[in-house]
Amino acid sequence: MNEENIIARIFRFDPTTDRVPRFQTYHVPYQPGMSILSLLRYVYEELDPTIAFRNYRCGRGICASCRVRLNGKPVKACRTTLDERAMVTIEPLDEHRVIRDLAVAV
Amino acid sequence: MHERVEVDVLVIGGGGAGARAAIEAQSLGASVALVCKGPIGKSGTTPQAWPSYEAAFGAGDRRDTPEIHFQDTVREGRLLGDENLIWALASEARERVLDLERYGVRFEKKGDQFLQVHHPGQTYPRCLVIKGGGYGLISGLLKELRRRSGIKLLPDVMVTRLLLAEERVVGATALNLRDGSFTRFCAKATVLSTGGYEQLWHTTDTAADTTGDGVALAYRVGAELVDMEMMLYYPAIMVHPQELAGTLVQYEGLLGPLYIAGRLLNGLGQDLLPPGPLPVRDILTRLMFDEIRQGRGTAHGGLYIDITNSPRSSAEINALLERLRSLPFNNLKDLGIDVKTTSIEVAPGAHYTLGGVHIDERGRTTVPGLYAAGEITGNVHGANRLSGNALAETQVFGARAGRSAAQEAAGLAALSEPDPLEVEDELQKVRSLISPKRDGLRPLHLKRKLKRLMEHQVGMPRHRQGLAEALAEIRRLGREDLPRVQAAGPRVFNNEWREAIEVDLMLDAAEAVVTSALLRTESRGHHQRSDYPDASDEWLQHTAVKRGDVGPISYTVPVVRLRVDA
Repeated sequence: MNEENIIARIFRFDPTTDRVPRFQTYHVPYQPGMSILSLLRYVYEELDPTIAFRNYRCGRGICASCRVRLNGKPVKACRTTLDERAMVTIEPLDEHRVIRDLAVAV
Repeated sequence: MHERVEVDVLVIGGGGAGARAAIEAQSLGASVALVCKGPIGKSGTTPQAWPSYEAAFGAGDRRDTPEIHFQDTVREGRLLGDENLIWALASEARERVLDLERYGVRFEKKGDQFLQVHHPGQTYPRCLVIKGGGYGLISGLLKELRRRSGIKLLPDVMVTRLLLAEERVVGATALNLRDGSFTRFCAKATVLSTGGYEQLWHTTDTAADTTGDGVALAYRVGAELVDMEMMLYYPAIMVHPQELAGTLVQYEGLLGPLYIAGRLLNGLGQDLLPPGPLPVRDILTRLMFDEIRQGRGTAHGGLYIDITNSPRSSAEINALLERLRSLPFNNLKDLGIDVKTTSIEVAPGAHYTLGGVHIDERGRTTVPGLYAAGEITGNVHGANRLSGNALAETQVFGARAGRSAAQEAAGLAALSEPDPLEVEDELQKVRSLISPKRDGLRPLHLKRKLKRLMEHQVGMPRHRQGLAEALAEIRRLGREDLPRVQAAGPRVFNNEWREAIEVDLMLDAAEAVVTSALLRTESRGHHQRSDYPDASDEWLQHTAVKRGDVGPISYTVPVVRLRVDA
């Protein structure tokens, strides 16, 4: 495992098959200025194709379709940057129904 | 197993054009379903559009009129736009603004008049500035959609096929991404408003969902596609740092002599802008590509936009950046970049799809029962587009297509049913995308192959040999790779399943693009051929592609001319 890795604990839950949610831990190589959305894209593209999240980026930080909770606090994933060696917990917003993992019914 | 939904008008695509079409159809009494493959109001290109909307109110200069808007659009489209459509755009753009104000969309004002700013190619300042940009526009439209009963809003629904009966479109099959179930829509009229196909290329500022689904869906039921080779490049897409790659910066505001008046520099620090007014998009793009190809680009294959020597004061620059919203200012700040002291690296990238589905002035495609509006259509702008005409297009043609669809639906008693075997075949095909395969291929990896191919062989400029190789390779991908595409297993909200459906459609769109690019043996606007470097009057016509038994059939159709005196 690389020193500069970010360790992300990500909420996993499929309401059609799971009785309770669980957390899965991913190690993601750090990039300067890396946002939460970039981290999720890395997980989807390189580590785990089954992860569910809203993979859309308006480019302005205004559409808010990528919102998640970072360490319990709601943030826009595209506009929230991570530090090197960060250890983060990423969960879905709690004000909407969870469709699967981080994707909610907005 | 699938759910059956019956409506008068089915609108596919939840951006500005689709929203406006749904509102118009509902106002004429039609029952409407609006489906979108993501959240409505947060998907596609409209939410990320810059705030410009062209409408000749004459608030910037009293001499401006719809006739001059028409002439500017015809000329800057390099005479390739259908003039009946351009006249519709120029003459109705203002009324549609007033509709938008009624829906709650707000525009920047100067006193009680609209603020109208000048963009390249306009005789007079004509761009209105929408408060909140494209997101402000779609948010207002979404509120209006929700206010109206009789419009069923269906987010996270991906249409996979249009259904025919007796040679007319009578609905569609769709995958509900939220639960993995299927729906069959039965509709008297269908409006396609799914946007463009910029994602066929690697360098683009568009959202990942602009995969040209609707263009390919229309093609598969026999619709005529026109000028598919015309992909509008925007001159200034950031190429560095990685986190901001693919972000557009508004060159008009940063470089325009009337605004910040910055400089465009090559990797050697040499000034590239010709004296006089700022060049329009196709000309500037060509100049930039030439410079980069000749080895004078930056380390990341771009050029510099540099406003550090702007003649404006720091306060003036701040005010202009705020008013014109030329930069992803906050995103840059996050990365510690201050544009007033540091230059930024940009290159041209795929920004707006000029080509697409052929429509007439009522928004009808060449297939009965099927309408189209917005970026998906192919014959409005021509070979280049003026800034601000895209959002105006969504409103003018969204309203027109919605109206025509509702009127047609009102005159139809009952619908013929599509062949049930065809429906079952389609659902089986979609289901098979998540069944395990030997030698499975991730849809993402096939997309990457296609995007790289398009970037290298179908960029600007292009030539016969590269295009012919690209066509052969696209067909090979379709034959050998596509059948191996396999998405991950979950039925619920499976991004890979959606991407597997998309990449299948993308291959058809790409084949149509390359076929058209081979046919047009000239250079015009955003189609530049190194083996045919000049524009030719013989090519004042549309390239056209239709699906044949063994592949695309290409031919030409005349451009519609109209005399409009200023």
